[in-house]
Amino acid sequence: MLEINKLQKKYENFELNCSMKVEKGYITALVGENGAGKSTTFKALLGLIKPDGGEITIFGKKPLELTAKDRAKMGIVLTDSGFSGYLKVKDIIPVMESLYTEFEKSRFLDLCNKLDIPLNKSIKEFSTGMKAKLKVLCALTHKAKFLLLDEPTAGLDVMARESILNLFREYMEEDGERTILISSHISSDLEGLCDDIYMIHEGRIIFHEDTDVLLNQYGLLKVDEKQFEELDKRYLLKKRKEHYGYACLTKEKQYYIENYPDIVVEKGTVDELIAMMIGGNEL
Amino acid sequence: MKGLLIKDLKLMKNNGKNLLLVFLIIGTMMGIMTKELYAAVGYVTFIFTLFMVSTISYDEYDNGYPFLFTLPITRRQYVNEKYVFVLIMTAISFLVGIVSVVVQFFLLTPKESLTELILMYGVYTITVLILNDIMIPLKLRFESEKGRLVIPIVFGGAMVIALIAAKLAGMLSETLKEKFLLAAFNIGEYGIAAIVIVAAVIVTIASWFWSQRILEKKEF
Repeated sequence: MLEINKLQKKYENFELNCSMKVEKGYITALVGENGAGKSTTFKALLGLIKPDGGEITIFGKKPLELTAKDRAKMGIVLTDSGFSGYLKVKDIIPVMESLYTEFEKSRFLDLCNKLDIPLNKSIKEFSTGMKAKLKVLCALTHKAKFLLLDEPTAGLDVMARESILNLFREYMEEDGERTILISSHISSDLEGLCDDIYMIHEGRIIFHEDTDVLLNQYGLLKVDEKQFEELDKRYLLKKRKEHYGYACLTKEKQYYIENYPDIVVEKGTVDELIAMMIGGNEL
Repeated sequence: MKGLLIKDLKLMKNNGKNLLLVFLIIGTMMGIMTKELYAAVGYVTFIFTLFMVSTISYDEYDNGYPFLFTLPITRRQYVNEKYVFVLIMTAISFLVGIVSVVVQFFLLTPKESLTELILMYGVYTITVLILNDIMIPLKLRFESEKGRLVIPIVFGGAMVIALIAAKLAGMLSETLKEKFLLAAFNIGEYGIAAIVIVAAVIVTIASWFWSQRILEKKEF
């Protein structure tokens, strides 16, 4: 569905250089800190910025070769951009009807009602959460084949976030060929939704793993100085100095559970992984 | 294209209603006081036409451009739509103007020449079109804050140039002035109108190319 090969973009204080792949039928996550390069990657693959090097293919085409028909097959959410704030939701409906031949007007209206989005109010008067929900609805209601979602749950409370995540799940269940690329800094969103996770740091992909593998095989060992000395370090990926000794990231959680019954082994989470991959030291 | 036109109409409806009402009142008062209906209508349509370009500002409000260009439209189509929108609105305002000219002629001042009034209104409409031709690329090139500064500077500069040109024309010798007047007389009012129309077409095409280039190069 999407392939990014050695994508490069240079700014004064930042350089993006990443490769990744999103398979058809998958929900792939892109995680990283603020300023890591997530939005720059999205902008490059949407043709909003011109890359300095590398290749991007979506539906087998380069971003600038995508026709209006191809673009209609994509549902986009950008974290900091949406329909003009001077429009009302009721104004957007005829615009969407004209732009997307498969726009589902009644579904859009139903969801507006369900998610408490007023039709007759200027978008600039919306709260951050309402704006976020509206963006998601616009992306979900024209039978898109590929959703590209840059921080779609930013600004939403827990309940609203859960309803939006359910909408993504329903969207995927309706058609097995549908695909999502999503970025988010809320790890719980990703753990329960995504098939695989890419981690980006300072413009580079530093980690890629299936979510199941991450949750089942990765673990965090909490050891004191003595335990650390005695530890088999072959399967440790990163370590971080803590007040009690060391926290160590491993991909072989089970090995340490079986062979070191005295040490604390915590389940791998996206949050821990991010913290260790970025803040941890090499062994 | 249709979706974008609908968007711009909605933007104008939502945000131009009150402004247009104020100018309609001013225009009506002007019409009553001066008994020159076409001038009053011209004033209102002038404001109305200039307001069209502000849809670009509404598009870019609160960083709206990136999302806009993820919709199933190309940058080229976006530029085309802006010019089509301006042309449609200019044509509508021209037709309204012509109606006012005809009313003026038959009801208020039948002594004036109808052809002259229509030609005058035509030139007036073309001037508005050219103003839009200048403003569209400027709005696309200089976003929001910068645009607010650049546009008055450009129009101020144009006025200064026009004043200097008028001053220089006043300093020309009488024989040269006569030559110019004679040349204008020989071309005739239809000839002058044709020249103005051709000039407007050339300016519009140049402006369109310029806008295309600006948007093609732009990163969001």
